[in-house]
Amino acid sequence: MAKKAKKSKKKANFLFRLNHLFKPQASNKYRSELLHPQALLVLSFILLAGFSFFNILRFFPSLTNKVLGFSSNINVDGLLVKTNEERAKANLTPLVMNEELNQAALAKAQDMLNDQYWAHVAPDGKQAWDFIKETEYVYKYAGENLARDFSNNEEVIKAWMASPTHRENILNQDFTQMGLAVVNGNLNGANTTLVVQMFAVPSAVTMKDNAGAEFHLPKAAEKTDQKNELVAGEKTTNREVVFSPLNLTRAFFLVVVLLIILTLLYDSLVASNRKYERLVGQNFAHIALLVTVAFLLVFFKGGVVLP
Amino acid sequence: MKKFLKQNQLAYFFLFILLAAFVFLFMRAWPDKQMQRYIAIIFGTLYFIWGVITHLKSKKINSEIVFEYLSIAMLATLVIVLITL
Repeated sequence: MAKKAKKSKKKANFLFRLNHLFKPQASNKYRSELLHPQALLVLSFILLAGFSFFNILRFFPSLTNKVLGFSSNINVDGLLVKTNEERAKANLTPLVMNEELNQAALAKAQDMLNDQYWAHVAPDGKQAWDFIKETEYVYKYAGENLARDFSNNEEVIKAWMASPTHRENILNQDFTQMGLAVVNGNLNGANTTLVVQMFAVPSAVTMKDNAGAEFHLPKAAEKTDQKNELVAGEKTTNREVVFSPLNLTRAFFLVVVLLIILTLLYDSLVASNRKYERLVGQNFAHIALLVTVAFLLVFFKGGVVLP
Repeated sequence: MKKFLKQNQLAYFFLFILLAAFVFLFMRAWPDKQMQRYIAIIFGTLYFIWGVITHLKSKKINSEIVFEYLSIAMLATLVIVLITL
C-alpha cells in the first residue's frame, strides 16, 4: 500500500515537473519554464556540449570508421565533364585531361593526407607547382583548385564557381589542360574526400593577354619557378553521410530547435485559451526566427573556402 | 497575441523581410562559412534589436522580456555558428 502511494506520488511529481517545464501556470509565472531566459541559457550550454561530443568522436578513428560511415560520389570523369560544361557556358574551349597533371594532382592529395595539412603550401614549403615539376611537365602557367568533404561532382563545381578565385581558374581562357585527383582518406581526424584540380598551359602553347594579343613568356621565365604564376584556390564542403559528425550535430540541433518551437506553440495555445494577461516576448516572432533556423539547418551545405 | 500582431503589422512585415534576407544571404554566402557566421551574428543581433524596439513602441516591456529576446537570439545564432564550424 505504502509502495503504491510512493509510486503515485512519484508519478504526480513527474507530471508536475513536466507541466512546470512546458505548460504556463502559476508555478512558472504563467510562462513555460523552458522559455525563461535561464532555461534557454541552459539549452545553449546543452547545444555546445552536444556539438563538442559529436566533434570529439572524430578523434577516435576506430569508432569513426565503424560507426560514422563515409561515402562520396565524386569521380574524375564527372568533374572533367562538369568543368568543361562551365567553360562551354562561357564559350571557352574544353580542357583536355593530361596524365602528368593527373599524377601531380594525385601526389598533392597524397602529400596532404601523409603530412595532415590542408593548404596550397605544404608544411615543408613545397608549392603546388613543385608537384607538377616532379612529373617533368613543362608549363608556362598553372593553377590549382582544392576541395574536400563534398558528396558529389555537382557540389564541388558549384562551390568552385561560387568562389571568385576558383571560378577564375575554371574559366581561364589560357588553360588548355587539366589534371584531377579524387582521394579518400583521413584528414585531421575526419574521413573525407580530397579533390585536387590542376590546370596548366604547356610551354609550347602561346598565351593571350587581356587584349587578346598573343605573347610568349621569356625563355628565362619558363625555367624559373618564381616567374611561373600559380593561380591558387581551395575550398571544402560537406559529405553526404548519414552518420557523419555534421549530420549528427545537425539532427541534434534540429531536435532542440523543434522542442522550443513546440513549447512556444503550446505556451501560446494554453495562454490564449485561459486568457492569461502576461507580459512576455512575442511567441510568434520567436517561432518565425526558429523556423528560419530549422530551415537553414535542413538545407545547410557544409564547406569552407580558404582565402 | 492576435491583438499584438494587429497593432504591430509593420513591425512583423519588417521581421519577415529580415528573416527572408537572412535566408537569402546565408544561402548565397555558401561555401564561405566565415561569411555565413558573420551573417548569422548580424541577423541574431538585428532580431534582438527588433524585439526590444517593437516592445518599446507598444510600451509592454520589462527586463525579463529583454533577456528573453537576448537568449532566443543568442540560441539561434549559436546553432548557426556551430553548424558552420
